[in-house]
Amino acid sequence: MKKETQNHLARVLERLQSSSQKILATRGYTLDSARIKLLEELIKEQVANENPSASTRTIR
Amino acid sequence: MKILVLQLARFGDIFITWPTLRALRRKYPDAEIHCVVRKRFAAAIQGCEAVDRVWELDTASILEPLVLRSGDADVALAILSEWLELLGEQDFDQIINLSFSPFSSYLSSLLATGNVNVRGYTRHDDGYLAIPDDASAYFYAQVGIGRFNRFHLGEVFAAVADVELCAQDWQAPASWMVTDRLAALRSRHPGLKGDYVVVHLGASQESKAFPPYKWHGVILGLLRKAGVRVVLMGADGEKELASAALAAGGCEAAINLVGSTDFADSLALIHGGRLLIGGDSAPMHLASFTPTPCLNLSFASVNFWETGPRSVGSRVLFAESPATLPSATVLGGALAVLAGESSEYPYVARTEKLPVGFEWRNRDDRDFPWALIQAIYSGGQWPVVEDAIVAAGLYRLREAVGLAVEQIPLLTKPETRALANDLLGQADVAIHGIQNLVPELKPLIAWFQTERLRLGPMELNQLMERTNQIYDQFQAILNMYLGDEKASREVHP
Repeated sequence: MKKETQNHLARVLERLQSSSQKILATRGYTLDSARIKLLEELIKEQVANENPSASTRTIR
Repeated sequence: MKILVLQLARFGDIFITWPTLRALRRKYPDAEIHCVVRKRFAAAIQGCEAVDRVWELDTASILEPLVLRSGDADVALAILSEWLELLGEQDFDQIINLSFSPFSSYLSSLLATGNVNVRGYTRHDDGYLAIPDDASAYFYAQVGIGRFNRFHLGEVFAAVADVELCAQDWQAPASWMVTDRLAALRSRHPGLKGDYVVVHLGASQESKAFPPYKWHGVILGLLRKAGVRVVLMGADGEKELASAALAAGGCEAAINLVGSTDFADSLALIHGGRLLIGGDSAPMHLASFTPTPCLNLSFASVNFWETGPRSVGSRVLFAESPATLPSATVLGGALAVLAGESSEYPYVARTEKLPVGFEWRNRDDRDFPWALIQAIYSGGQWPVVEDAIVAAGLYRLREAVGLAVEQIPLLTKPETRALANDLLGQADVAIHGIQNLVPELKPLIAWFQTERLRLGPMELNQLMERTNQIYDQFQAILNMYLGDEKASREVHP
C-alpha cells in the first residue's frame, strides 16, 4: 500500500477512534460500537508496519 | 449443524488450515462447514473438499470509500455491516476462529449471537478480548515470533478446533488431479520427465527473501553437481526475481516456470520433484500435501517450528537473515537431502515424532523455555535452573507475586483499595520487567498474564477467588524452584 494512502487511512482511523470513544463513553459497548471497532481494526491492519495477515503476528 | 471457520491470514496459513477443516468434516460428517477467507487469498481454499461454502472478506471494497471519498466511514461501515448481516443470517452453531487477531475477535463476537459455541479469540459483552478455550490461550501466550513454542501451527489449529488430525488430512485434494496435472506438465516440458529439483525463489516479505545472486549460486551448483534438472516456480510477480537469478549465466538448463503455474499445477510440480527448496511461503506449505522432502530456508522473522515443512526427510536451514546464509550452505544442504546424508552445518530435521516433528542436528538443543512450556501445559518435567540470572529472575518474581497476593484482600476495603490497586499495578510492572530482562522466563510469565486476561467480567467476589487461584498456582511454581514447604504440593497448572 502506498505511503500516502497509509497516512490517509491513519488520519481516518484517528477520527473513527475519537468517535467510537465518545459513543463508548455515552452509550457503552453496543452493537454499533462493536461494528465501529471492527472497521477500526480492519483499518489498523492496513496501516500497521508489520505483516498483519500472518497467523503468528505479534499484534494480539 | 453449521460451523464457521475464520481464517483471515495468508495463503500459507490457509493451507495449514486444510487438515483441521478435513478433521472437522470427519468429526461432523453431516455439518455444513463454512469458511471465511480474505478475497485476496481465496485461491488457497479452492478445492478444499471439506468446505461447503466460502465467504470472502473483500477488504479493498470496504476500505475504498475511506480512500476515494475523503474518508467516508459511514459508507465503509454500511458495506461491512451488509456483509456481516449476510453471514449472520446463517445462524451458525459453532464458530472457530483460527485468525488470532483483534479484527477476527470482533468478527467472531458479532456473529456469535444466541447459543453459539465459540473457540478462538472473541469478545466479552463489554468488548474486552475473550479467550474461551485453553488451546487459544496457549496460542495467545506462547505462539509467534520471539516466543518459544515448538508445536506446528497445523497441530495448534486442530487443538483450537478440538479435532484430532490423521495422516490423510495432509493429502493433496483429489479434485486437483495431481497425477494428471503432472503428466500434462511433463508433456509440455519434457525436461520434467527425469529427476528434478523445484526451487521457489520468492518470499512474502523482504526479511524472508534470499537474494537473486545467491539463488544463482544454488541453481548453478545443483545443475553441475546433483545430476538433476532445476525447475523454478513462483507467482507472476516473481518473474523479475527469476530473471535476476538466472542472469549471471550458466543456468540455461534450468526450466523457468515462474508465473505459469496455479496452486494445483504447483502442487503437481512439487509432487513430481525430488526436492523443493524455498523460503517460508505458500509453496512450502503446499509441499506438506506431498511426500516430497523440502529444504526450507528460514530466517529470524519466522518461527520454523510453527510453519516448517511437514514431509519426512525435510530440513530447515536457519539463519538470522538472508545475508548471513551462504549459498554454498544451501547447496550443501540440498545435496545432502538428495543423497540422504547428514551435513556439517547445523540444521533442523523433520522427523516422524509427534507432537513436535523437528529436531536440531549438529547443535546443542537444550532449551529451557521450551521445557518450561512443556511443564506448564503438558505435565512435563520442570527444567532445572542452571543459569544464575534465571534464578535471580525467579526470586524477583516471587517478591512481586508475594506483594500482589497481599493486596488482593485489601481491594474489598474502601480505605485500602486505592493503595492496593497502586501496589498491584507496580507488581505487574515488575513482573513485566522481569520478562524483558530474563527472556527464559517468558513462557511462565506469559502463561500467568494470559490466565488473568481470561478472567473476563464477573462479580467482584468471584473475580477475587479466581485471581487468587491463579496467583496461588504461580506461587506454587516459584516456591517449587526456590525451596519452600509448599513445594510438596502439586504444581502443574
